[in-house]
Amino acid sequence: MRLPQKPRAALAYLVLIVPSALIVLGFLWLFITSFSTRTEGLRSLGWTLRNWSFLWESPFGPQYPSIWWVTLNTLVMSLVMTLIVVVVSSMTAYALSRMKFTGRKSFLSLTLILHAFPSVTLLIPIYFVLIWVSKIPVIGRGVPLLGGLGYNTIGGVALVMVAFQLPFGIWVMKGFFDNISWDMERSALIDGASRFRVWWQIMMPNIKPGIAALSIFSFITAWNAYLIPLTFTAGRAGKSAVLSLYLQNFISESVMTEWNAVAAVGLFQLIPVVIFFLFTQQVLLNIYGGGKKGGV
Amino acid sequence: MKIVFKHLCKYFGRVKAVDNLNLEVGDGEFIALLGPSGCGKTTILLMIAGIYKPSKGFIYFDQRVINDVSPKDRKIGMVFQSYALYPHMTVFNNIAYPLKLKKVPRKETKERVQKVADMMGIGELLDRKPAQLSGGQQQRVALARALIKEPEILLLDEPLSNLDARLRIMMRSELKRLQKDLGITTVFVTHDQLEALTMADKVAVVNSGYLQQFSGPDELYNHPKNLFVAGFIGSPPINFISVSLQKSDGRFLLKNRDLQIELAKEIGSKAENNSTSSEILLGIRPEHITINKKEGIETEVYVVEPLGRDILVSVKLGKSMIKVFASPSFKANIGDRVKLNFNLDKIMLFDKKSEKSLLLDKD
Repeated sequence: MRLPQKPRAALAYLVLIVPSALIVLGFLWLFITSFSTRTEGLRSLGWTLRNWSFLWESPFGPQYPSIWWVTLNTLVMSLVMTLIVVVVSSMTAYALSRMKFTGRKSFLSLTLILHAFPSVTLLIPIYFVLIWVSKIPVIGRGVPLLGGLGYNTIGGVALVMVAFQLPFGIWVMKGFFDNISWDMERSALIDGASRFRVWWQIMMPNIKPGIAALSIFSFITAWNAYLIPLTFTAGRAGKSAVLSLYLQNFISESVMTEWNAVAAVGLFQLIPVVIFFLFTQQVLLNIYGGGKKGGV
Repeated sequence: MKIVFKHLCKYFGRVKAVDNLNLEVGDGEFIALLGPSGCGKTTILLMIAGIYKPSKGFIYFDQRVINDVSPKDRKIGMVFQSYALYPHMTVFNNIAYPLKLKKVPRKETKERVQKVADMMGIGELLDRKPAQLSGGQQQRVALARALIKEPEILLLDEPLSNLDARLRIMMRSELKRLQKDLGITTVFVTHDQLEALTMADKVAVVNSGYLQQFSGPDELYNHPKNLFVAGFIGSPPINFISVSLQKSDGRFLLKNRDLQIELAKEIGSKAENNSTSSEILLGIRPEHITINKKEGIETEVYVVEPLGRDILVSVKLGKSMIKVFASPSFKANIGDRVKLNFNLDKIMLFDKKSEKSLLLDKD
């Protein structure tokens, strides 16, 4: 049964608007709540900036880190993780896409399996590994900013996040590499380039959409991460806390929860991601489809 | 630089892409590798370049075995079918890339690039990116990039395939002239037999990985060694007719239901000696048949195609279709009966089983 044109369009709009409205409603509540003393549904009972006070004073006392320190932690962790994922994924993907070596097929299958693997099951073994890494001099606990690479450091959290993101990154980047014509590489090899030069000077510049897509995806994943930072840092407002953990401090069982403050902090964590997403939406949509057509 | 192939083979798993190739390319020669798609010609080219390693056999540059020499040490320049220009670099940087890799100083690079670009007629386009160029211009950039290294061997993979028909004809003569001026040993790959015949000094016809024949254009056209070469070379293609070779009263005859032709004694006896059975194939090119109103082989006009310069007439001879060139003044309608005369000097005969030409002296 084909509906005539007007009702068909109306139906399409209905199907799209209703679920979107529900989601938007949630965000609307968040926004209103963060600026109110109390709310009744969507109605504010009093406007205030009190909930945003965490921006200029620590809500838990002076010995706890301020939100800005935690934000810095989150930023450093996300950036380091993104950088390592992109570099390692693109090198691995290039080798898998272009080079012949024994075990290539098995490695590819392994990547796919790991992509689907439930990472939760590995938390305990990883804990032991990180404790061991902490014992290594210098990189265990002494790296500035990152705090080190062991347990209860931002570096450690970044490392674990990298490990869990790599299978996805490799698979995506390989897709992009496969789309580039072989002729360009062959031409460079004949001109005298080494494999590394071909990767860096010829392939990577032509993979820009892939790099962008992977960076954005990885960054957002790291920024929002909760389980891994929770497991591998000590204390939710400790030196190595990230934003998602910091948020948890506002929700407690002994004292009444200040939901308005929770809304404010939640919104604070959300804003960078939303802005990021608005500007990079188009690039993200390309990620599973593979990059632009290769060659001239 | 001379190139020699000795028992060259390339296997991809079980597939024999190139099988037992023996060939010699002289210094400064312009040779073509000709054959249908998938016959192994590009594989041979990539083995010369060093991108593929031979599975068996040897490749020599002059006296040196170069099987294991890496592409960048082989002093070759290559132009790919897709030109393979680097889209993120300007034309200048594309051409300069080989020199950059050799760490040639900036000033010298600039001079050499300008010189080669001017020679190829793209001197003004150095600041553009490949996407801003036409197909012909891109091809010239690719050529410039290949030539700037002053290579000893130039390899071209279907260099004219991506150009429109007019440009193709122009570039055919330009490439031939360029090669003669530079004197670089050149190997190019094509599936277009006309390109091969017009441009190359010698043509290697390849089919399914095997070399069919390696000779100059004339030889290929007039004395093909086997059925494949005869049928592949020449446009419109050669006509094949099934006949039986019979001997009666010391005369050699080619007979079938629709025709009877008497062969000259030398041709007839050669054919008889070389053939394995009396059933053979007669091959004759459209331009070696004349239409005669009075006497000849009876046929019926099937279709008439005016080509401007001549008229191509397709006629039915029994169950087969024969193509004949007629002069522009020829007039006939579909269904008319016309008579054909074959130029007996230009007839070719082939064995049905071995597909070899019956007119060659045994070597």
